[in-house]
Amino acid sequence: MNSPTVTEEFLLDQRPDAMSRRGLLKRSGGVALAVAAGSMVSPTAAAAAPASDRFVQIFLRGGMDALNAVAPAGDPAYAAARPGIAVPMGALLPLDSTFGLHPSLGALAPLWQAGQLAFVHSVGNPQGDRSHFEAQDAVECGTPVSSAVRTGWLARHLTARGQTGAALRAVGIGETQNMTLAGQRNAVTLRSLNNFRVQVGDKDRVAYERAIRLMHSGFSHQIAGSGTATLSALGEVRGLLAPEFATSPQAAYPDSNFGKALRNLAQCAKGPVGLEAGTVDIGGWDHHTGLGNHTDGQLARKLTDLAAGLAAFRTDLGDLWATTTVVVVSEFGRRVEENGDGGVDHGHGGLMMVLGGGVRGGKVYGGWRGLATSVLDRGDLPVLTDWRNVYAEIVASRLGNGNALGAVFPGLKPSFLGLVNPR
Amino acid sequence: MSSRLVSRRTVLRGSAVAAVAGAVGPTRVFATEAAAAPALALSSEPVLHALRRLTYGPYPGLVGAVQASGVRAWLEVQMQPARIADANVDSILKYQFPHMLLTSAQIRARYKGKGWQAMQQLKGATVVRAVWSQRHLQEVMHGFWSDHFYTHPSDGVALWGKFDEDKRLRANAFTSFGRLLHLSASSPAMLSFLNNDESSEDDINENYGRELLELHTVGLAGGYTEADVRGAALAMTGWTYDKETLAFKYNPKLHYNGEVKVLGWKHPNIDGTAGGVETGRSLLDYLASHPATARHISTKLLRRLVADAPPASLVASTTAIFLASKGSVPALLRHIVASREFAASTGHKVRRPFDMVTASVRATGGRYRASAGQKGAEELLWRMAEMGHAPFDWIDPDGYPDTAEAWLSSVGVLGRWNTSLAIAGRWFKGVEMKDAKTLAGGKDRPAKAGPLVDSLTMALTGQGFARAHRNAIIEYLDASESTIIDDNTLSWRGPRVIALILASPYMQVR
Repeated sequence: MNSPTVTEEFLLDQRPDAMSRRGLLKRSGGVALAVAAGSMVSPTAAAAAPASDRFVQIFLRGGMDALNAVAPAGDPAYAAARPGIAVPMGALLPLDSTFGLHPSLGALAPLWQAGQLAFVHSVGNPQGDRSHFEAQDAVECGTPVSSAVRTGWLARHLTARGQTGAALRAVGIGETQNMTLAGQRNAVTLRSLNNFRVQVGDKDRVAYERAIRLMHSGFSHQIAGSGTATLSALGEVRGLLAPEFATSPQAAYPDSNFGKALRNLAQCAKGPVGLEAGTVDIGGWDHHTGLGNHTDGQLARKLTDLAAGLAAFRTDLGDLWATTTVVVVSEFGRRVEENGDGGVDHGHGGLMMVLGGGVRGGKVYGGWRGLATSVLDRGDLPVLTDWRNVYAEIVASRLGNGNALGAVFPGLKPSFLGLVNPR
Repeated sequence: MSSRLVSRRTVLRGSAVAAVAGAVGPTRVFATEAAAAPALALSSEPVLHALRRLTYGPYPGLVGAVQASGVRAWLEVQMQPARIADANVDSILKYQFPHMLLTSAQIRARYKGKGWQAMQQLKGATVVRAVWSQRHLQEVMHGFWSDHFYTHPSDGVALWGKFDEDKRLRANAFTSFGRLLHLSASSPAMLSFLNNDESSEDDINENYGRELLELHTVGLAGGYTEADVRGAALAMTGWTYDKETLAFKYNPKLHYNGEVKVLGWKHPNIDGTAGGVETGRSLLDYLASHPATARHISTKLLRRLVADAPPASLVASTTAIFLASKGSVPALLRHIVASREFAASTGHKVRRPFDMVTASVRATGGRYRASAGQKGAEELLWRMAEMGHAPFDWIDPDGYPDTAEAWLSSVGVLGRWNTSLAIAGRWFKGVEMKDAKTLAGGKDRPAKAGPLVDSLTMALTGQGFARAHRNAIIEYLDASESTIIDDNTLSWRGPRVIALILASPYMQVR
């Protein structure tokens, strides 16, 4: 492990209170835990697990238009299919002989040049349909067909790695729990670090939380464990508000929900809270109408926010960036041809972005085949790369969990693109 | 909690129960009773227990009434809701939510382009009924069927049709499973939500056919195949609605003609012009009486009323009652409530956020302020939405989850604590809760801290707390057992004490 930072697991085990926090979590299972704790969560088990990057997933809800974000400007069929909304060749930031970057993603250019940003084009769910609901489910559950088994792939990854006892191991920033983390015990969902608190004044807080803690002690019930775990998370979050984890003055986050979410996630990454996985959602990518052009319109505004947030996140993380992997994903791409309302309808193949210190970036992956009708899938980009293979490679090469791929992505025959350097 | 451990125990327990069917003693129904650590000291007094399961929360007047009549007699009356006067709710609905008494078509005519506003009122009326209706069990069963035959009112007919569908689910809450299944299958909201309206001989949409099997009837354990899903979708083609009247309509032009098969059912289905309705009804009748359906529905009902992982013995006996009674809802409820497993299940459910809000408002004696219009309902709805459990906000066709696991994330638990603070702090403009002094007995309230805390826990949860938990509240008051708490201190610290009681496991667990 050559990274400049110590792994979270190691840090945790060095903390004097690590055992007691574990003890609290253990009690949460009630009944059987006293017996099983020793074998299930031995203090050395976590430290023995292979080192892992912090993993961050950013989900663009609604179906991001891959073709205007990373445009195949070299293909004349692109401009022909989109007379009103194609990004003109001259406005694109050239990536390679085929593709150019939407100018609103310009804040990501330094990462591309540093080789820390890769795109995967024509990626998606080979069996996916064009409904938001089912497609999002499939992406998050990591199963090609939405099934009644509703756990997220990221939750299965964390489960397979074993418990660490960290109160903020998996954090979703948003309103409701991200499906990607569904099934992960004690995954914390919070709207913002500042609002994650009991709504009593500072003067009363200690006494009030103490009373709550006592009320959740001395008996065995699921709610006792959840209560004490929540109190631990509250304590961890308070710790993260300390000045040493504050946003770097150089990090220019946009003043948007997305910017705020990444700012909070960076605080979690900097603090000694054992963060391994974070998720952030951005809604509003379903551009059936008024998608706009390269200077203005809905897509340009969304992309500007996305790129500015990611660039600031990278700056804010500093040295931690070396051991961070970020994936930007959406449920599907959009149709090749522009519709009658200046937008594009639901499509099939889409775009993923992979960013981080261990990424083999500066390259568009995915095996582009052009936009000829014979190539397209009912008028949409085909799926040439199963999206699970992007995740699977990261799980194996960056998240130290290659042995568990069968559990994380059941039924997948892994085939890696070579997107990341092994840790 | 460690779901892995508990579920493994449940499996073991389940097989043991199966092996010695009927011979399991009353203290061995639930695995957790063998625990080394003591269980939560939630009162297992039969009336309190029954009301925690069969209503949206007990309160002193209700507990007293049921103690007088007995649970069994009370249950019989509750299953005939038309016989129960409900003046309070009638009045709130008539004056604050009058449009919710209209039909779907009338509501659409009035709210066209403002579907969200109309739906907000349906949600509000749902909360009002859950909190203030005297037809307690009808609301609980309405909630159950509403989650089971779930439609998300996103837009279009799925939204406008919801108003009629909701009324029918409530009105039929005590009929039979088969009747409810037919009701749901011919509901325009359902046919739109699951795309049966787009399904035709030429372009089959399997969405409804799949959920009919997976969610509504036989369940995933029903042993059906993709061919059965397709068979169900083919059989149901043509079941759609009239766009103008929002009434069910059969459209023979969409119907597939030719033999259809699902599991052990088949139908020649030759004359689609007239017979497509008959084909669909025949399939629904078959599915409604299928043993896998009996087991699936019994298990879900037990999950709602008894435990997240209901005992195998009770699943088996309830399934038998389902089959013998042709899915009669009253027969199922009588059986479950009279069972020893039900009696032994104290504390095996965690209130979902919706129930947590309703139970807290009922316990604090909340009154709806007519002068605030719909605001009272909106304030409660907002709290539910904060915790992810406002009526009809779930997007998926499987309805809100009904296990504690789904609702005890950190943000979920924190939401409960902060909601408790809001209710106890009387932050609402549209709902008026009683203050601490009134709850503790008014002028005659105990003066000393210990008895005062006891009177508050009794008023709010119907029981005293375990010593350590009671002492935690006394300590929070900076008091000891016999410290005198004057009115001034009580008015200042009372809201926080009530919040602690509402946030406590004694209120969150049922």
